[in-house]
Amino acid sequence: MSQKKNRNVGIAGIGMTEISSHKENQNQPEMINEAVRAALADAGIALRDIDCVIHGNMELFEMVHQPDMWHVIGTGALEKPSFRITTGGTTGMTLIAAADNLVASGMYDIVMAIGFNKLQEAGSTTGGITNMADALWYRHLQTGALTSTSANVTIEEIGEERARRAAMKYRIMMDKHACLNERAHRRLGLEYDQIENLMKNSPPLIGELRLIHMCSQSDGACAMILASEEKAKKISKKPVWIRDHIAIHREETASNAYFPILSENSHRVAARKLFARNGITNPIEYFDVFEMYDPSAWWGIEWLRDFLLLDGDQVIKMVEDGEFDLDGKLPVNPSGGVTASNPISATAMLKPAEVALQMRGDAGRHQLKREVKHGLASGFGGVMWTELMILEKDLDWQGDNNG
Amino acid sequence: MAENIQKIAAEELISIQVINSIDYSFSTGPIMGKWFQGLKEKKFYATKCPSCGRTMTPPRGCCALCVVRSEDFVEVGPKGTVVNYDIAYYASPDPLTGKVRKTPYSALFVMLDGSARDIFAHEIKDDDIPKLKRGVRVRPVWNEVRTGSIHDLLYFEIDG
Ligand SMILES: [Zn+2]
Repeated sequence: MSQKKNRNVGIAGIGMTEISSHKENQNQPEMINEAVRAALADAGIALRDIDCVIHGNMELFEMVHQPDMWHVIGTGALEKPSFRITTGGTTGMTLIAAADNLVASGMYDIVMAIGFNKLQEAGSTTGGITNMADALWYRHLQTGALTSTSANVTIEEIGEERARRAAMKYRIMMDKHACLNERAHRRLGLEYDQIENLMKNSPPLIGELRLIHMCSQSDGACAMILASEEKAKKISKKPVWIRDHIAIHREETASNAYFPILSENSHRVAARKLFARNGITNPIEYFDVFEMYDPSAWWGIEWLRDFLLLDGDQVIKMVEDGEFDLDGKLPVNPSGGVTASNPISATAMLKPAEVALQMRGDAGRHQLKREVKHGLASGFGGVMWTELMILEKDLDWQGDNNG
Repeated sequence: MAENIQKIAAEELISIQVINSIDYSFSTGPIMGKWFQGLKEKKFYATKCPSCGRTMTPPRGCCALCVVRSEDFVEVGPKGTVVNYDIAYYASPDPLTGKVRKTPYSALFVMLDGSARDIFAHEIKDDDIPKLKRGVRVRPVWNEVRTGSIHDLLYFEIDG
């Protein structure tokens, strides 16, 4: 058994604000508090029941430093153990991974994790991300999170027309999912007969990456309450279990994100290792849903191939055949994904949150018709690092697949 | 009455505008110091990993893959091959100057000659942007006045 969990950990409460482009009606602690209250209400517990609070955002955007300190009135961390976590776009998933570790270790019984960003206050997220690049040499080049390098490679592999069409089909599929999700930020109402038009007329941002391909810039917060098996069963009617998670980091020099120094990127390594140690040989068959952190449609089609350990154009074929639709072989991002909603440090937390809501049957209009028993969620941040998590509806995997 | 309360509430939802301008100064340390000294002399210095043999541009004092010290320098380039590139049409602000960048501009990922398993990133000359392709050969164009900064290298241009 490769996981060293002392005990099982369940998601016992989920709360999120509506995700939107602006929230002038709230300041930061007020916005966070809305998610905190929703999570407490969902779990049916009070602030006094929380043993520890973990708070996370990318402070380089709002430039409010030590937010964990200023936000105590919103987080409810007064006189409680509290930690702040910032790992770039991955933050939301790192928060859940850390909360899982803290509960699994036996240190705390009930931990609340809070992820947020209020990007409208940030002025320019691209400016913030550029300031993140190596100060000695790379800042004059950094183009924010925008890049066409993966598009260049996909085009070389399968041809211009097919690659552009697949990326746009993926984007429209995400919008169709988002349109069913009342919490999603951008719901554009795109139709597949707009593929040609969008391929030509959406404003170009960088190389092959057009405005329509790229994620939004959103305001929002998400809070999740994780509890030990004993407590989770007591406080929640429908706890969802965190089976395992893995983080894969890379040597971060900016330039190496765009050139494969190693034969596998961090997503593929994460998937290969995580599936192997959990005895999962066919992820497409095993999982009922995959919530993937997809910052752009081009990265979406590239990264699906890595996470699902596919080769060649298998993944493009699956996009073309609608296999990732809500009623497809493996539904991807029923939430609408990151191209629809991106309150950055809540973004990656919305992935396991959505999987858990799907398992509980509480997703709403975009609830999958199939029963969701096994779920996968991913986060992405920095230049290239990955957090990947397996969630389960039932506590029945132990003993079978711990290889 | 209710209307009046709403009106007052709307007037009190205020956004405070703040523009920060702060000077920073970053230390290179000896390994990156050698790199910048090299740029001043129109040279690219890489470090070479004694274990796996890969070069690192800019140089690092340790190979992160092998976790061993790599303090031996080799000269690479000056010419190289384009392995990937970005052409930005989006007018993003340059955080170093606060000004909006002229578009289009490029980010170029180049394997300098003599390098092994690491690339270097810079820009391509504006006139060469339409000719950019993976596999194209490039050469550096140096600034007349060099001070030991990344701007000692103006950009790369297509070789040939
Ligand atoms: Zn090495």
